[in-house]
Amino acid sequence: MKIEEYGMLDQNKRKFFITIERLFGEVSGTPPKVAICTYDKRYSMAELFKKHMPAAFDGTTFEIDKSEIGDIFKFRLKLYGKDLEPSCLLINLKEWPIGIILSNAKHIDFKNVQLAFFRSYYPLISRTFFSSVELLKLLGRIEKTTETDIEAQRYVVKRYYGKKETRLCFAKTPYSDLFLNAVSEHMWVDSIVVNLKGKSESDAVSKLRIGRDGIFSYRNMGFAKFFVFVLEELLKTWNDELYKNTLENRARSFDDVVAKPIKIKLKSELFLEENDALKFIEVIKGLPKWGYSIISLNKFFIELNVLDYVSGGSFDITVPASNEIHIIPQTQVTPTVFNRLLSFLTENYEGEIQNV
Amino acid sequence: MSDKDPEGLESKKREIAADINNYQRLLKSLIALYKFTKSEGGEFYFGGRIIPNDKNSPTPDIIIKLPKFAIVGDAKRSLPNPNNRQIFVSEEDYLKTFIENDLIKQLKSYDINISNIGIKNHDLILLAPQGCTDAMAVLKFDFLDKQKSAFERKFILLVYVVEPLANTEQIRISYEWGTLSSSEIENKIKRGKISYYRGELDKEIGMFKIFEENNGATPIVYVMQLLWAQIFPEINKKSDKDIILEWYRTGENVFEVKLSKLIKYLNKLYSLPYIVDSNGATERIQFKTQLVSTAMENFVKMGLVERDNGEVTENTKYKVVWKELPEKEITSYFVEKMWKSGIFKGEEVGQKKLE
Repeated sequence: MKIEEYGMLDQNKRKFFITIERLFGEVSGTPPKVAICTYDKRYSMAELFKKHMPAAFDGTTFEIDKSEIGDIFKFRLKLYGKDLEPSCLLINLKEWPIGIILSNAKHIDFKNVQLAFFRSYYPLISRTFFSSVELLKLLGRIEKTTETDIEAQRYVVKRYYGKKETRLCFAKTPYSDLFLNAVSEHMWVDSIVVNLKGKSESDAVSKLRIGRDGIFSYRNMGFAKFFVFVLEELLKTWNDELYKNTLENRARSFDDVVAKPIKIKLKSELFLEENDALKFIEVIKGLPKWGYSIISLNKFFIELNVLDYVSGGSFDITVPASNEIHIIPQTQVTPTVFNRLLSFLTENYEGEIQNV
Repeated sequence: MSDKDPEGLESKKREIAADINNYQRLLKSLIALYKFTKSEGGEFYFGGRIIPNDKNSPTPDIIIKLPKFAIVGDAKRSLPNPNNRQIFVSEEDYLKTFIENDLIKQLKSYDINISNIGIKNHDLILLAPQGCTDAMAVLKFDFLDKQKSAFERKFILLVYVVEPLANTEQIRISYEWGTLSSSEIENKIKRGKISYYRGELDKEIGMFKIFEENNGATPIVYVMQLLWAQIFPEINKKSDKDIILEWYRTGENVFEVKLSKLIKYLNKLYSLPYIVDSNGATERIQFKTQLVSTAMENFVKMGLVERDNGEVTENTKYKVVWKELPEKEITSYFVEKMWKSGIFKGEEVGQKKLE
């Protein structure tokens, strides 16, 4: 976004984007990568980073730039003593308990090193997820607000218990058709790469990758445009709908014993045969550093308790219908911990989260 | 290290899993009754002392307080089989020994004025599992039908079942015999209104996890799971930053806790409400000292918890070393460790070093 376009924004946002531009230099040839996370708002992240540095990242330093929109951390990571260039930013927004990780690193360094760094601060930081439906809505919103045409380039689909599959798009296939077709094949769109074409021939074409895993990348857009047109509304909705309605205040405790269950309504009838409950247990076993106990297992009906060792949070999980997963948070369930469980389940199951 | 009797261990695991499953049936059925009571504008209690401050007071399992009357009685996980000749020499013996002198005698002890706990008029209830056909036949046809009226007050006999359906469970309480003071409620029961699919009971099943019909009814591994996965993290405030920082540094969390606090937390978080007498004294708690201390002793034998030597009292302090267990499946791990420490045989296995 050109500096003169900042004039349209309020002063706080203006200052914020100017600071980001100063701290985050784009690297030619490498599109910026973004990951969205949520943080435990009881605590100061600055203090946390000062108090704990994972051994592998010993020597890592950071600076903080404070703004009205959020605190911006710039990390110079060291991995086993070696400097890892380029640096990455963590922007902890003030309005919502959301962090934006912004990086110029190559994809492999971003995923395997930078995100691994932030992962070691779980459960105080926890990566967010979005449903396929939300991604579709996001594309519609972007199209409208940026007055561009969205052309799908390639996308990844997945089905329950299946592997991810990359598909290329034929020219002019409406992106919404891709989502609908996936559903009709009992699959869902897991991530998608699109071009944003302006109405005029001279407009530069922007590129965008959005995914259920909360990882985005963009080209020819600039962070300010990306934040305003792609992220802002998405994150606001995440906060208002998921964080406030589902993640927050769910724990049972000595002082508040009432159980507050939720359910995930799946798109397909998944739990139909005897093996299906066992398949579900196999998925649960995939949660690293979590334990589980089988409370009841009768053919296709299962009741489990799952325990997150890092946070101490635990949940009762049942599968009481062919297309539903019910979750009853027990003790020590903070929003970031609940987010982790739902994020994990979302990797494997696409559905709608509803209060019980 | 070679496994001692691995076949026995697997069969022990299956036995315990079945025991927990079976235990849950009565618990879920009581929860169904709880939910029905609430829908009728009533309160459901797990028993209480009818005569406050009297250790010999009758203690019914169930007290249901409805707007116009109450229902007081017992819930049974099973009824002995009248054909079991190792215990009963004949059906007549069963009728006398079990039905009259045990089951009915117990119910008759609630057939008294209990206005001192705020109940002016009440009916009696027995809730039994569906499937004890022979026992129910003797009870209904050889006893209840033949008495003019076994009790002064009205009496209703209900049966419960937890039935696996295509993709879920259905929990039902059905009418067997007798009558209630409210023909409206009696009718609802006869018409199968106390019937819930498992998914409808999430909230309640998340909150109520014990029904101690009598001492030793609750499977010990089940209590150990509640302690390890829920109570220990809650007492230690495991999701607080400082505790998490300790975890990052050492991979475990160490804390001390008294037996009395464990009992308090278990009861607060997981038991059905119990009726309190006019003095406000807490009665009929469900996670009792013996149950919880036995669970803790198992952890001690497994090397997960330490305590001082000496007699175990409510003031006994335990040091819990809470960490990620070597096996993902927690209850299975507990059974295996207990098996290897000889707990199921009621003795420790010499100086054998546990892994």
